[in-house]
Amino acid sequence: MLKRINQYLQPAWYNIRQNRMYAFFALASSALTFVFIALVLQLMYIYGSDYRPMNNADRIFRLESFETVKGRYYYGIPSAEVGDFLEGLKDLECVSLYHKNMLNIDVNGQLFQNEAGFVNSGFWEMYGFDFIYGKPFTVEDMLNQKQVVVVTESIAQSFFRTKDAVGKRIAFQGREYAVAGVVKDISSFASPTDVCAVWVPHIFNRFIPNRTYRYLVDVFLPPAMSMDEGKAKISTAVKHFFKKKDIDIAITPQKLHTRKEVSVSNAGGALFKYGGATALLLLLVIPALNILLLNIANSSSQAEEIAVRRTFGATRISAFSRSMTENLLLVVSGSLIGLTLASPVINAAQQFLAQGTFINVSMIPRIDFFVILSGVLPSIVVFSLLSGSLPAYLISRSNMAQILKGGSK
Amino acid sequence: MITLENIKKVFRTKEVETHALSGISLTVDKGEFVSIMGPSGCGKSTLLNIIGTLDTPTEGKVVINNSEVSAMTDKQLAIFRNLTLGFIFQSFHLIPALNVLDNVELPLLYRKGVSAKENRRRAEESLEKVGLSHRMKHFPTQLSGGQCQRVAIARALVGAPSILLADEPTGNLDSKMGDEIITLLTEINSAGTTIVMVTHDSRMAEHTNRTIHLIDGQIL
Repeated sequence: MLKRINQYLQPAWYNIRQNRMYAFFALASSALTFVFIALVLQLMYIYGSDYRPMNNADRIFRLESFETVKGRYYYGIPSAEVGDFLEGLKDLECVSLYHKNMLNIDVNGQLFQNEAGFVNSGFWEMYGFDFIYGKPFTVEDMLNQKQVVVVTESIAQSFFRTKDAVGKRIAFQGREYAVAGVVKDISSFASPTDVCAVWVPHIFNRFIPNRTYRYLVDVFLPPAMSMDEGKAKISTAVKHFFKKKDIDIAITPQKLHTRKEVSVSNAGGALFKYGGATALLLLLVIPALNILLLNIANSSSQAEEIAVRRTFGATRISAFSRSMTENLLLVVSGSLIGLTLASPVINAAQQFLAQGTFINVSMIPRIDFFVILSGVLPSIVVFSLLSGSLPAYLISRSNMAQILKGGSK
Repeated sequence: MITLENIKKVFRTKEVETHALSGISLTVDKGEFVSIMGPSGCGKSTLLNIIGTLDTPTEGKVVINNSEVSAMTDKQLAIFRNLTLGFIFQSFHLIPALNVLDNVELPLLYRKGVSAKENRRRAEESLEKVGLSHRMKHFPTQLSGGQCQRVAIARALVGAPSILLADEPTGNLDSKMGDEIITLLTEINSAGTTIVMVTHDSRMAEHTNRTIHLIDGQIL
């Protein structure tokens, strides 16, 4: 068996070396195709699944803006009234506060400008961040006024030249903080509004005293609570809170949408699903057709060898396999190159587009193993079959006598 | 051993219909060395291809070793070619990416139940028979025409086929090398292998037991 495989690989490799332009084109177009295929699949995974940290997004409601019956809007909850607002939601599983702002962060005398999120400990219970070092700050930390922060791995790397930054110190707004935990980079596609470089306990939020800033409140329903019941409780709590200020909010359970629903809707809803599938299909079919046509044009280099093999006992199926070997070698290698380059390419593009801005988060920090296994690898198989099977079939069915009539050494 | 009954072969295009073979019937006995001669385009190679199951007749019956080949499936034909037939071509048709030993071993790779070691031993033995055991690791492009044809003969013989089909085996060689090859084929025939050889060269045909002359697709 090994010998047979070697007998397939050697001539395939020989033909590749003999037809370098063709090989280069097949390799490069497969690589380029799979940069985009990996990205489309990863994006579909981010939006369409329980992607971290938004793995509970189908039971989380973000209370962001409130419309009155007169059509006026209130954005967030004023910082001074947050305690009162949360009282009305205390039956619910978990409530997190969220306020984001730009900070000048001092790291050993060097200043970095980055976005910081001011959150409470509920934020870490609600969202599934992957901690690679340390831990999140807790209720006890906040009660004890512990000055700690959580940072992303890329920020830890850029601040301290190491991802293991637990215990390292940064300063902003006149206070010094220790890094309590480092989380894996998150995709800005997954939770664009939550992407920060640093997360800080909200009790240290010095933007608050002027009362200009308002918190967004996220509510996570307990597993046992039905969605209808949860929505009813939230809308009652909101109505009640504003009623005390003589404001009639036109909120109903039907108007409440989970973060998942909002995310899918922002991405285009059903259009995103079908658009993604269509993009994937086009990405597979168009380059595959190009390689297929090149394969057919290039098949004369294989035809003689395959006719000889059939003459000496190869069946059509084994001739087909031999012919596919060359295509497989090129397409699989190209696809793997594309897969490896997908994340760096998109991040390099992002860096280029974000020159002069403070954006330092990844759109797609990595292509997940699940996406590779369930999406990219099957796509490689489909791509190989699409681009190689027709030429291989034609060669395996070709007239041996006619091919062997001419030929050369 | 080989029986052809009323073999006809017609090549058709949209405009033209060419009758390459028009009702050929012949028998080749076991152990015979038969040459087929005739002018270009008379159907010699077509006839040989039909005997070798590389092409199918438009009409007629081909029986080899008591098996009617037209009734065989692709897989059966592949096994049949592998076990029963050996082929030698004018242009050698060696695989340039493989060395001499791997080229010779090729037919054995499509056989089941034989170890890789045994395959290698048989390939080496076959190369020894044609006097090329010192060129095993060379590639076809590093050999002369005569040596390439010897490798092709070793490849045809390695599976110990009962029938050897040779299509102008000396056509691309000078007379000295041609003589060497025909001597080698005569020796192979003496050992019991049936040979059917297509040739233009009457000098080569003289070495065979019987010559069949073809003209316009018919036996003269």
